[in-house]
Amino acid sequence: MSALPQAPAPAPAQARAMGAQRGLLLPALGVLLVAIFAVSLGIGPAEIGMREVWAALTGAGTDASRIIILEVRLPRAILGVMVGATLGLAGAALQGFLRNPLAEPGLIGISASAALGAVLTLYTGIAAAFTLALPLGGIAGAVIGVGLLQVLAGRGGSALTLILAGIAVTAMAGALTALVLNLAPSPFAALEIVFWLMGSLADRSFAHVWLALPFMAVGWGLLATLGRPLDALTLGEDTAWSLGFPVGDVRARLVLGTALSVGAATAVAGTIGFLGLVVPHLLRPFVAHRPGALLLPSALGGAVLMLLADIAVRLPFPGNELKLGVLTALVGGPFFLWLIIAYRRRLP
Amino acid sequence: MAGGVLIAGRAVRQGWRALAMALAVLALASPAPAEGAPKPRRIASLNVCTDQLVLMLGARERLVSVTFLAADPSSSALAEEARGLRLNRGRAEEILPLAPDLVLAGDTAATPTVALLTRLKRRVVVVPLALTLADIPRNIETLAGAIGEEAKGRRMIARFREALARLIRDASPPPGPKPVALLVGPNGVTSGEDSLTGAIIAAAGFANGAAGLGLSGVGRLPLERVIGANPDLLILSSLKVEHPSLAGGFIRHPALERAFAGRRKIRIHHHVWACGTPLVLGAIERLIEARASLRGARRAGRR
Repeated sequence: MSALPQAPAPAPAQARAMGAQRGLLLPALGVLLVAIFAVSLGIGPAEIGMREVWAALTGAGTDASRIIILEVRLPRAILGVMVGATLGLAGAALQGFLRNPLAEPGLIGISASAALGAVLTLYTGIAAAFTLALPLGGIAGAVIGVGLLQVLAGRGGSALTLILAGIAVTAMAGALTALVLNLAPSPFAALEIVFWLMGSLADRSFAHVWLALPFMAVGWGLLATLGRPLDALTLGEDTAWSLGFPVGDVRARLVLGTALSVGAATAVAGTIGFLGLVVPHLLRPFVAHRPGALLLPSALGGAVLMLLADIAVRLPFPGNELKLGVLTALVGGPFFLWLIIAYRRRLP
Repeated sequence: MAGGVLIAGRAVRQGWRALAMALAVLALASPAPAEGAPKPRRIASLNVCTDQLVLMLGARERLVSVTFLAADPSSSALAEEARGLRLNRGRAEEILPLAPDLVLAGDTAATPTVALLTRLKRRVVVVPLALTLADIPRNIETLAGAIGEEAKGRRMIARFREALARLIRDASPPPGPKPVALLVGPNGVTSGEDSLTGAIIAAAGFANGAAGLGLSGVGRLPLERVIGANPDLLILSSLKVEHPSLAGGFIRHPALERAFAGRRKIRIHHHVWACGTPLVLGAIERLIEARASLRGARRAGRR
């Protein structure tokens, strides 16, 4: 056992300012999350006022409104928090580890391969026979997707190689998903490609929450341990190794944590892109660009943004809502372009 | 040309179907073979509803092809009878080599195929989708005439009308407000009053819950609205053979099960009333029974 590793210490004054900022960031995000969560419960095609929502939550109110709030909107909002936190956390961890501002589960193909895994188990009837097969299928798909990325982009590949490999993986997984859905015996399957490519939280239930939560929780736990190793890695792999964080071990935790959480999230909510890209970038200035300190705020921020997106998809056409991916891509797409332009300027 | 005028009128009402309807008018206007003329001997059907009507009219041995849906028990009530027939997916290339002397089609799907076959001088008869109970005898008549089974068609129509009248007479709808029935299928699809299923629900003496939710034709209802609507009877329209899909998850959502636990629910297979055939009588009968037991339960509740 060597001496306990120390995270690189910032200068005292900077640390104090940063500490104050960080100290405010988490409570602020927490308050925002609670507020938006409450708003989310008040939105839906059945018109239920906030007072009635509260009544339903406390066990009063009519049977119908209680069932709508507790069995339709509550699992939806909880799932929104879970999926958003997963994407934000995974995005921050991937960007930190790969030292690549463009990394994100959706862009590098992890979500698309997870969706393929979930589709394979659902439409072949395996998930009907064995319920856990759905999240496990998503996780297996995510693991295979990451494996392919390793082969295609290799160790120490450039940021661009990784994105290109991600595009290839996404295209292949998307095509195979379409193929499976076209061959599926259900007459509805072919139309459900929209769910798997664009993602949605509509009509999800607590069954989905319980199905995904255990896997996601383990994934979050693994990703949360990456705080100090990610900070150490900013000093280079050798320094990180000397501080007790061998890069192989860190990578294993990252891959497993991402696969578990993103795989399970995608299996119940479909592919939701760009959220994991945008959130860490928005929050990075608040944590003095320390990748380790970015993890928890990104999880909270991801949950906030996901709930906001899920509210926005329900507003324009009540009862005929948009898919989440439509919205996240509308916001995330231009952001991605801006990132590429900014990134190109920095390259020689 | 009363039929033509009637169909043209509907074409105006339902803009998107105008093209198919125009084709139907053309097909109906083309000189039908007089009674006693040689019956078509090679019939190809491109629509699951015409598939079933031909089978019901007892012309199976003259069918050279039916749709793949005809042999699928989740879409067709006569899947057994269709087994062994050559199946098509509504493509002209599948039909032409069979050299049919009559092609039967519906007015919703396979429209480009119908246009192509018509241009190639095949005899095509388009049987429009039945949207009311009155459309059923009309469609039987059209189809029976086209395949040269006029006598069987007339008998089938007479039996259908008689059975329908008897069902409605015996049901003796009680005075007072009608109970409300709401239909939901996979994906939350429901049928308002302007649809065949809506007409069946109305014939059984129910008010259609979809009307209260602002839907008149076929449309989708969000889960929350179904629960909030609180109908007296929930009709679940399901496929007889369910393959896994997200759409099917709708009618198994725990919230729906909780909201309608211990209340009147009835499950009617989609294939029974998806097509305007005499089989819809079975659906009407089951709905009338459900209404009677609803009334019984209500009376018992009051005591």
